[in-house]
Amino acid sequence: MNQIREHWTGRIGFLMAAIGSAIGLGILWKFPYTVGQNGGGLFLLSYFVCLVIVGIPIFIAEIILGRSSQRAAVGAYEHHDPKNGGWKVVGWFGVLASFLIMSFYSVIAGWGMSYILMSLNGFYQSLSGNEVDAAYETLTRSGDISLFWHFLFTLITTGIVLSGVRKGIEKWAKIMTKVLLALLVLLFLYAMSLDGFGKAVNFIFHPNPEDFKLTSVIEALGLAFWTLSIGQGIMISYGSYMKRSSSIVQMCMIVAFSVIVVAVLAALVIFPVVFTFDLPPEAGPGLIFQTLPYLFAKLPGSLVLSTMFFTLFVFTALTSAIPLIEVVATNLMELKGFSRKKAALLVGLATFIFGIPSAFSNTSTIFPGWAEIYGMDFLKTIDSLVSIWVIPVGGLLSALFVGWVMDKKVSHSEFVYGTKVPFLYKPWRIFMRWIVPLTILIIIVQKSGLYDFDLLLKGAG
Amino acid sequence: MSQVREHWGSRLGFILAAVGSAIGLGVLWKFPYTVGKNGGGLFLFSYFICVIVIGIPVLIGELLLGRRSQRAAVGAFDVLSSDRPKWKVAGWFGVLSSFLIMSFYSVIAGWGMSYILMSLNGFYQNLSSDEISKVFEKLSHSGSITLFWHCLFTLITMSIVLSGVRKGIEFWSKLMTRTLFVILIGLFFYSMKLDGFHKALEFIFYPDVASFRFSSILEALGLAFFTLSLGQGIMISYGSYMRKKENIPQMACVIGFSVIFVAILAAMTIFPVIFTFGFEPQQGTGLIFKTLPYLFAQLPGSLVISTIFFTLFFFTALTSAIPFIEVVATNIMEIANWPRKKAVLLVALGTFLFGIPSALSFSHGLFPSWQNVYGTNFLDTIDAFVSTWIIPVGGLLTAIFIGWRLDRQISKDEFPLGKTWARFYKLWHFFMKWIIPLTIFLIILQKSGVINFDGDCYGSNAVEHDASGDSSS
Repeated sequence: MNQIREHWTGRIGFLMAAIGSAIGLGILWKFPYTVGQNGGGLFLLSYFVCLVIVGIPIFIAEIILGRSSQRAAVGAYEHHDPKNGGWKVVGWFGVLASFLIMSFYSVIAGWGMSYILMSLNGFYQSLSGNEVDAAYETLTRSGDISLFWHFLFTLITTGIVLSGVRKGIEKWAKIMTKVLLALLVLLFLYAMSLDGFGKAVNFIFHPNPEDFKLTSVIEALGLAFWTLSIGQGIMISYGSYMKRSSSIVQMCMIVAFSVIVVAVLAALVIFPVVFTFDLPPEAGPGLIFQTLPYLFAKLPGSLVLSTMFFTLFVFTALTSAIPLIEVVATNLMELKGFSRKKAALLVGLATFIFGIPSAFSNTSTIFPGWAEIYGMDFLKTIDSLVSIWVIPVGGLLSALFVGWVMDKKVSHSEFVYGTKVPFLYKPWRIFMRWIVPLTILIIIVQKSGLYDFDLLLKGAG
Repeated sequence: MSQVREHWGSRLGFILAAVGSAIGLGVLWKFPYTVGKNGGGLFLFSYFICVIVIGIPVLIGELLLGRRSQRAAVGAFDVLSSDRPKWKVAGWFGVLSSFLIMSFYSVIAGWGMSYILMSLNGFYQNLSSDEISKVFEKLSHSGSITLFWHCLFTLITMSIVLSGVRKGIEFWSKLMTRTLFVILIGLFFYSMKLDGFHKALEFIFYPDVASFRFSSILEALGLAFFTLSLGQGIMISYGSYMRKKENIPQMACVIGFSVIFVAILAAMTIFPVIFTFGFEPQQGTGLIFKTLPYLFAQLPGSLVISTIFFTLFFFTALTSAIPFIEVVATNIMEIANWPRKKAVLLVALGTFLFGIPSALSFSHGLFPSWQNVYGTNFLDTIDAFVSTWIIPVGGLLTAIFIGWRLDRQISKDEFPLGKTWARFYKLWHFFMKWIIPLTIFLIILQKSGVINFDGDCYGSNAVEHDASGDSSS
């Protein structure tokens, strides 16, 4: 590295960027229906537990890796393991995850952009439920329109990353995360006035033990990983832009706490709408693009409401997409000596190209037999590959690295710096060494069908 | 060469890269079947002998050519025989075979990658054997998806080679070859618990005299050649990255024995699965992509087992594919004086383009009547062409060059000092001069069908086991 590394202007800059990154489409798109499908309150509780047991410790670890090495993912592992160098593969895992996520993320975000335009046009105001569904089908089946939005979204993200850490990422993340939070609060206030609000609160917070299984815990863990943007190398990069001036632990607590608040708030915005019209909560991925627009159309002020909602959606996506490109690009910059411009453009182009099959996934133009071979369309294949395998395995390896390989002195000095809770270092380290790897391992075993832990739960109960 | 040549960072790095290169898909899908079909233990024994008597000497020869000349294949022959430049052709044979193999190798490896993804999705868990066969038919007949994986595999290989000898080839080969060993041993322990393990042991090790023929020896020889990555210019390149202080014969023995070990381990891992379900032993894509996935689906922990197996398959393919691109690229780098980046990109593009007909060979998207004209599809045609002709002829020329043309002093210099090694050198040179060219020549004759040693009892005077009843079959 011949130049001086760019850093955040201050704590707020980092916090806004990290929160914006963490609050991704997962919270709007996956969180509500996953909560709905997995027994409401009890699931929410296990999500919190996963966040505390696994999510936050790994989050702290990634920030420590980044700040102490002042390098992006691959370089960070190399820095802390100079002898062997094998661990840098874990960094590549993160880069791979970011790349793959960006490729389909921008397709979904692109649909969101399309819905802003459609909302502004008041397109679906007088349509029936079937017709709204049909509009979504037409959009996703129209390969060229999907591709257009996919391209536009990639372009915007690349443009922001091109301008660098302070002028690009921090500046835009600050603006958008603030707007995002404001929009969410406004929508929440609106949702409170709806008839279904009480029912929604009941649904989200009331534990329903029958729907709850161990598989739900796995979902919760996956969600915790997703909603904290860990296992993707993002927090290593973001940590590397931090100066040694504030406590990592405190910062991480703030980010995690904000994510929880936003997740619950998002659920409290979406479910009242669903319950007001007595629809079932387990709508699945179609919830955002099919159910909500239809319901918005029935509510007073629908045009403003749905425009606001989809702006929220796009901002959420954008603040999370920025680090996805940033991570891949900074790794290229450090390893290949590319300039920021060259790296960002190259990564933007590559994710765009790799995303083309995702944009066409609901049509059968590219890879016509894909769903028959892999059991799901291209976009979902990549999504599940990343969220079920690449991210958790990457998380497992990073926990093992920080717990067992990394110099204890380094992690200790980074952990305790400026913190009021230095006594937390020991428990954190025990978590990284034992609890986190074991939890992730159990989940991988359960997912893979080697052993069904649900039997154990049933046997105990 | 204007710059200093890059060398291996460590001895272990070289060994793991060479072993990774040598252990190719052939070890997984050809070796077990060929052993079983050719009389089990007796064949295994002759393979063993062939590796020691033919394989390791040629391996020593190729490494020596590379280290002495500090050049890749074509340049090596050029430098060591400057007054007779025609010997360069032997180097070009290696380059050609590497190029051709890479073109279809990455198609098959691409299917392997697809099977990793399918395994992770647990897709074929509830399917019947027919349905699983159909999935492979769909995959191989879907030109666009096959092409997608072909492209991805070529890209991955390319980006590793792009990073150079130490940071690219050595680093990744080390990592993957190690993982490959761990996976194989893990799977082997799993296989040991299966009911079919004893039957598999019997199939592999029990000497079945009746099914052993003279052609089996040639088969074993071909296999020894193939499983040691010989005749493809690879070991010349890898030798050229070796330092002077390394002991070539010793290294060659380590590589040879590791390959034998892995091959036997692979056979003892795959066949127990097949025998547990009473299936017939098979080979090739049918074994890997149709039979095994079905059988995996029946076993406990199928998702993990099949994911791990196809990861093994992928790593095996990748560690062997790296030198294919490397060999072609380094030759171009030296001859045209190009930078590594330009050469590697061009070669990868070349193998990708030339591999397109292979990727589309099942969907008949390209050359629809190829099969009618040549009897096999494009992929199999290239495969057969390379393994029957290019590799043996290239190997023959290499052996003749070392045995007859190369200055004895040069090859002697590359051997370590000491009395034992001097004796070993004499033996080695005798083999390179007489035994090896002759046997390779016999392989070519047998494989090309010019002479059939089994049907013709007069020609097989050297064979004692050749049962007379066998010639009627």
